[in-house]
Amino acid sequence: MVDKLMKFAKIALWLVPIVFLFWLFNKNFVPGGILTAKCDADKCSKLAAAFATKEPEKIIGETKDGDRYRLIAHDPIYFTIKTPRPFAKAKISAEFANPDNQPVFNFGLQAANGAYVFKNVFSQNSLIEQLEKDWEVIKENDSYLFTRPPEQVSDDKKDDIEKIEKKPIKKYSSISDFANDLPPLDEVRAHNYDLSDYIRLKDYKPSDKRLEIGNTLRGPHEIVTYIENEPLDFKFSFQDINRHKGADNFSIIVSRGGKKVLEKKVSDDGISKASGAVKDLKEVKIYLEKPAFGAHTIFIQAKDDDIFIKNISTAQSLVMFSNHIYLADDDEYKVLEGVASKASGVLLSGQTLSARTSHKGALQTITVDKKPLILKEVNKEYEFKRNKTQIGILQVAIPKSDVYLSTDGFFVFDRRQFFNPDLGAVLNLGADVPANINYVVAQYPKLTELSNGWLKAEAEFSGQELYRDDKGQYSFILQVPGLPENKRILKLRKIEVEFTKEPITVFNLWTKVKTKFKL
Amino acid sequence: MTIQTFQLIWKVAKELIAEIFKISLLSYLIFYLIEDFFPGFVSGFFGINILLGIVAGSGVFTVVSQKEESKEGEGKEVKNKIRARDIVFIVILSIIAGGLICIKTKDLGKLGLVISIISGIIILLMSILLLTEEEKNDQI
Repeated sequence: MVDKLMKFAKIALWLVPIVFLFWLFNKNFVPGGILTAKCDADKCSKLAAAFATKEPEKIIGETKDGDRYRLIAHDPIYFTIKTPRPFAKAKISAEFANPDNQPVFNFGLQAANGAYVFKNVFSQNSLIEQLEKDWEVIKENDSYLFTRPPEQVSDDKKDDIEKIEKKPIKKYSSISDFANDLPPLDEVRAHNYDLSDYIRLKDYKPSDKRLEIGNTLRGPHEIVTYIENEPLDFKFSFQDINRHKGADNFSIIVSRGGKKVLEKKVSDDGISKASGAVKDLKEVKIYLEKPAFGAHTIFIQAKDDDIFIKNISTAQSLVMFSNHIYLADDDEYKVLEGVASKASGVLLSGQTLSARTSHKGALQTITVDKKPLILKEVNKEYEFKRNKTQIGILQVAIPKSDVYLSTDGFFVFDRRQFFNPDLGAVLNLGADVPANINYVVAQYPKLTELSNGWLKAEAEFSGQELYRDDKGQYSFILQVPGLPENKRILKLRKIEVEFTKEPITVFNLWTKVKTKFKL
Repeated sequence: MTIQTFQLIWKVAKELIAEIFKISLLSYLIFYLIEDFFPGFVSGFFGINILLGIVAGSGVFTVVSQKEESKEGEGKEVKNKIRARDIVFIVILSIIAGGLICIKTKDLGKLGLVISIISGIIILLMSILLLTEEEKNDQI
């Protein structure tokens, strides 16, 4: 009996290091995808280092409820975590008591250049807190929409008020409802909230006719158009003149608010020698069925000036050329089908205009708002600056074409194609709310209240924000500006980081191994 | 508690602690080796010195208790003979040791290779020498 028990005990003892080894593998490879590291008042995870190094002494206190805390009197609080592998996301949270009402908390993570990327987790604003009490509020996570409440008037004043007709304030059911159907911008103020993606062009209606731009244009161009309740529909006709060596494949990129929404690659015509041989026209269609409303930019990223745009056909009615336009209806390019010298005319919205030509035959006198701009030499920039009396869009007449025009504004071929792509802006909330303001939209993160007066602040870092240095460390920071200067203290109970990545499964294991060992 | 029960408990405890010593020593060596090749693999989550403490504690206890036992059992003849299995085991261990030294000295290039081969041979010869010495002592 004793021998049997001994045998069993020995097996159990040998199992301990085996289980422990599995536990280490689990900790190092994190197959579940989640790794947590934390520091509390007394001890820190083995992965954590440099915790609260600015504190000259480690002072630990205890509340009457038995909660132990680390006394913090210096800014910032550093927190470094060494992880066995990189992660896709990191959620950092701190639990603390704020007896001296420290008003600002920022979490930060050190980026590759050594600077910290900060996220504000709390920034006390007494006006926002007052609005929360006095105005009607829609709260969605950290976002707030404050709507001015109807004025309360006493019965004896009602008759006088009724004589003054006041437009009722529209009520919204959600913040997205509000953003998608904005009231006049002079009734709105914002606090840490970007509404620029929601501002529409006033009185815009899609056109039922296609716009044809038949001017021949040379090289890369940037087109700005406006879209609302319509598909994005452009057809370009390209031809390659093959005057430069190398393939002339290029991309057409559509972007909105600086973010790419579509990319189309256009292949070379098959002639990479600088032979001057020209093949047939190539038609390229750019189409998006339901794009988001707003200004879109179409970049035709031709590498050099071999690519000619022979025609642009579009369902959009507002089409402008940004920065430059290279007019190329000239005999110089008569090798291209249908191209011959002809006068061109464009309209200019910018403050300045520069013009140059590369060919002697195109030396000419351009007129800008009936004022001459003489091109005397090839490859030399000639500049026009508008004076104070020259307001609005100016007419530019180019008698011979083959001219590269650049501006700090836009070019259009017809006055009706122009629009201001800066669709307006919502002003930020100041020290008070003016009487004409009926809506305040705000991003106002608050600290989570826990039991016994403890508070919790959280922030999440992901993607490019999440930088792991060559030692495998992530360097976090909790910034509490003004804490030592105002002799405030914080009682820090816990600081924790939860890292997450894609879990390892039987389905992705082989892909991961292949990626790791570059198989 | 009778003397027999106490003796039984003492015997079980001795045997278990001796087993703990073997397990903890082997585990410590393995974890130390892993830690040396993959820094942070063990120490990132567990203080390896805790294991060293267990090795030392259980080792001291085992040695002391074994001494008592050997005093009691003096006069008993123990026959230790080198078997082929021992030689194979020593050769394998020497090769592993030489390989590890080779990995650790790879920055030295050919010199590292020479050092690791010589080290492997020394380990092999020393182990055989130790075993044969024990055998000779036994024969005397």
